[in-house]
Amino acid sequence: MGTSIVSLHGLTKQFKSKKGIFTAVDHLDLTIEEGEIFSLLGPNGAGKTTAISMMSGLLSITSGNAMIGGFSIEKQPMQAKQLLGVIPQEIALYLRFTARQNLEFFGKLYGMGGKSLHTRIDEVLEFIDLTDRQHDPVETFSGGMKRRVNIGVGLMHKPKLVYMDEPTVGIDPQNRRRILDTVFRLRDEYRMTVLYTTHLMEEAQELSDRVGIIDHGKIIALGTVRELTEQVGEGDRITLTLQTKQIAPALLQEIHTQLVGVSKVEQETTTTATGEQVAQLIVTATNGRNTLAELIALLNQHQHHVSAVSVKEPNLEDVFLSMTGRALRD
Amino acid sequence: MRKVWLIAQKDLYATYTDRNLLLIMIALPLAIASIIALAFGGGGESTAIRDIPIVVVNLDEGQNGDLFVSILRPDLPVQASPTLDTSQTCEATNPSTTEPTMTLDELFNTEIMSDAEQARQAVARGEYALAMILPSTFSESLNYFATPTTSDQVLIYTDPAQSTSAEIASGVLAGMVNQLTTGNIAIASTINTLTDRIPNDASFGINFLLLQVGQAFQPNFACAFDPSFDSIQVERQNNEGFEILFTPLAYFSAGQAMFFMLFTAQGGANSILEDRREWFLQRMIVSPTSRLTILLGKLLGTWITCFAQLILLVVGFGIAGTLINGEITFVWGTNFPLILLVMLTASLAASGLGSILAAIAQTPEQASIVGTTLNIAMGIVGGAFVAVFGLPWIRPLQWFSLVYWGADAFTKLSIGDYQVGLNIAVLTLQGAVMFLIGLFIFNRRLDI
Repeated sequence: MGTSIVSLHGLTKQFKSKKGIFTAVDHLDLTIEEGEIFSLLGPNGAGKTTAISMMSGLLSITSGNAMIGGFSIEKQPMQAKQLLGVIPQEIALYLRFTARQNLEFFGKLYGMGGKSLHTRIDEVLEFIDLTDRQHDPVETFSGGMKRRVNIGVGLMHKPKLVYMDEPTVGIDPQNRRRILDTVFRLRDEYRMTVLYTTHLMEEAQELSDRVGIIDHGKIIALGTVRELTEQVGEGDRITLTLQTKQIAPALLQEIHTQLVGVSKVEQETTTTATGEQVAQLIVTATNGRNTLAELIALLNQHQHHVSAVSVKEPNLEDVFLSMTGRALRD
Repeated sequence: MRKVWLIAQKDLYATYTDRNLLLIMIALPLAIASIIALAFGGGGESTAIRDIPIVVVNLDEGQNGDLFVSILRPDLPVQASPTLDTSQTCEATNPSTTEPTMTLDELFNTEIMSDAEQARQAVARGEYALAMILPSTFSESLNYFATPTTSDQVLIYTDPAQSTSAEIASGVLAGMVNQLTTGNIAIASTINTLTDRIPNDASFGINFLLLQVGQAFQPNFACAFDPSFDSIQVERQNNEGFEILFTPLAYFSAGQAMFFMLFTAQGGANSILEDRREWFLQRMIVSPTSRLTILLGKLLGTWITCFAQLILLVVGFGIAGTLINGEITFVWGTNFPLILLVMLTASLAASGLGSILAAIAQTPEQASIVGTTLNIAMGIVGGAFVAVFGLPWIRPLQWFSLVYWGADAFTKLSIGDYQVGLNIAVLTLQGAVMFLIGLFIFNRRLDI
């Protein structure tokens, strides 16, 4: 890491409509380092795809600029595009072609040819695990297989930077897992930089070296997952349902002061499945899993037996919620 | 260029692996043209063109102008023609080998006007295929010893929009005038020979002068128009290699081929729009491939497809014509280099139209509606469905119809008329201009 492969400065896209001017991407400043997996996370309509479309030369840039590997996408588009592998959300394949023919077609568009082209096709087919189906028309493939060919096409010319625009939309968990593993392999085995857009917090959290949270065309938060969750200022949230109806205030105070990392202690009342009113203890701590054992021991010591436990670590959803007041899926 | 060919290849693959598309491209025009031809031609035999609208302005101060007009309009009273009775005096020295199938008054629908300018304007308006102006010195110029001057010229104005019928009409009328001229030269030559003999033969000289004084020597111009003597008939022209017969299969196959080729070009436009919908186009754009290359590739693919369609159709029409006529038929004639050239330019023009359509339309559905409407309009004014000879109101529209320019060229070639340079030029220009407009719009619309 260290060398930036993507530099966006004041990148803006405006669309004119009868209702006026709509700003889809608003002065986006962003740098992505070589070899990292960077996720652009945001709800639908946040401007992720518009930003990627400008960065890949599909959409004109209203203002600002986008540099890919030091080449301006507007002024040196051919050089910039040669570094890019675009894996769109759509299955952008010619369905009547076989998997091999699709790879060959796009390989040639990137200037490949001869023996090296066919060697590369074999490598990509192996990478996407479709060697045995290479001569079948893509239209006969399942959704997941089509997605894999879609990815393969984007990798044909060994790009330095791969854009993956919500590649797991509409596929089953097994294929989703396979795609997420592919993203890791691109970084770890092929030293590629991956720019991954998603509206799924779990994916961004699992994959990303760094995350940019985008909303209304603007980056509202940027950093590693830990850095972002720390920005929210909350620790893990431990919830314990007790068999007793109430906890003494003195015990609450003792938990707060005695246990390491505890920042907040609250008591609520909840109703069990049998209709019984019982106490619920909510503890916020920097390291919830470590605190949990000591907490249960202390409660037992005071004759409070625990009937249910949950530990919720803060996530990007919380970050987004804290910054926008909305859930990611709203 | 490699990428252009690559993109074209993809489209060709798409086209020629689509059975339904092939059916529409080849089988449908073949069937429709054959059915229409059968309906018009009763078995595909040639039918003579009739009633070509022409206008004649007779400014002749002598009698031969009236004589000329009376041949075209036998229903009109002839002012002076004591020599019209040809039955006794004319002998056929070179009789036509076939019986005439049509008289000139059947071939032409002749109007007589008195004002040359008025006649020219009527042709310009498309009301007539041709205007013929007989000069005031027409009879004078037929004097045996007259010295021809420019004022003696018979003027013929033709309507380029009705080029086939105008060509036929001007050919026949020019032939009539040539016959008069030829007769005049022959008579002058005879008289020269006779007068040369006078100094050496006194008795002959005296008799000859007496005949002249008594006006007993008078050449008979009507012989020139006697069908049995020297035909100006349709068949006579035919024997000289100037085919003026209207063959329904040739005419409608040309129109149908052009018409259905527009739909193939529309398919090319749709392929761009479908590629956009499927994100295939976007994927090409994000590769290091210029928009010009992509559009050129699409154009090339459509061009080859349209050209191949015409090749297949001409073979198909040939087979259909052969089956219908019972003899080997080359439906658009045998000048294959010219036929290929017209095919190439016609398919280029159609592909250019496809480029514009692809650039303007937002969706394949939109392109289908706009394209189909446009194609049908072009087909109608271009004569793909009905023969449009002598429909002056169509003339201004025909200039914009690819169907007209292509079909007209094929029809001309089918009758052995190789004057298709204008058609080729117009089709090439239309193709190039439309492609450039399409490219301009395609490039301007950066946001795909």
